[in-house]
Amino acid sequence: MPIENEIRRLRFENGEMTQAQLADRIGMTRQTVIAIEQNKYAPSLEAAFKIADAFGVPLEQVFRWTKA
Amino acid sequence: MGRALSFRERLAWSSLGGHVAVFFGYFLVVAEDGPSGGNATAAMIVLAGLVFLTLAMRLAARLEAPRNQAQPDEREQLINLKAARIAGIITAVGAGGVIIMLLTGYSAVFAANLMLGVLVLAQIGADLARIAHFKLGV
Repeated sequence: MPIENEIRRLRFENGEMTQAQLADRIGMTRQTVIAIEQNKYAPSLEAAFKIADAFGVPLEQVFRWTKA
Repeated sequence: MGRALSFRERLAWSSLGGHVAVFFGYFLVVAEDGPSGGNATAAMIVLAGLVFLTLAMRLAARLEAPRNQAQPDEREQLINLKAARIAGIITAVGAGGVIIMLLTGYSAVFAANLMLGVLVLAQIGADLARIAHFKLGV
């Protein structure tokens, strides 16, 4: 998948936030957070903004698009 | 670390197991009877079984969903759409085949059984697609 992310690192930098806590904050299931983190699912733009907001950082610090 | 199955992934496994368990024996009997045989009453009972199983799964999804999973999230909705597409293709192809069989002289009861089989197969295909997407990604 051409979209990579820094969610795992950001979770640990934010008080070792668990996947379940992040899922609660963005209104998704823990399994979806896991899928996003493992690059098995590219979230919608809205979900991506919610994730960035949960960490208090701009979107580009969470997601990175790699040109194929 | 192992990944726990999500509520809807467990539901997909339950649906798959339920459909296989309920319909496997029935379709073995239908296959043994062959095109000339057929039992309309049994077909109606199994059709009712299919409807019941579908409704039970929907009810379970509504009542048993964890607190924060009353509605599927965007990934689960996408998986459901992809599964519905698979089911739609199987149903369309199967229905076409059944129509051709009817036109070529097969009995209506046999065709009805085949159509029932197509519907069950479509549901099983959708469940398998769901499970695959949950495991491998969307």
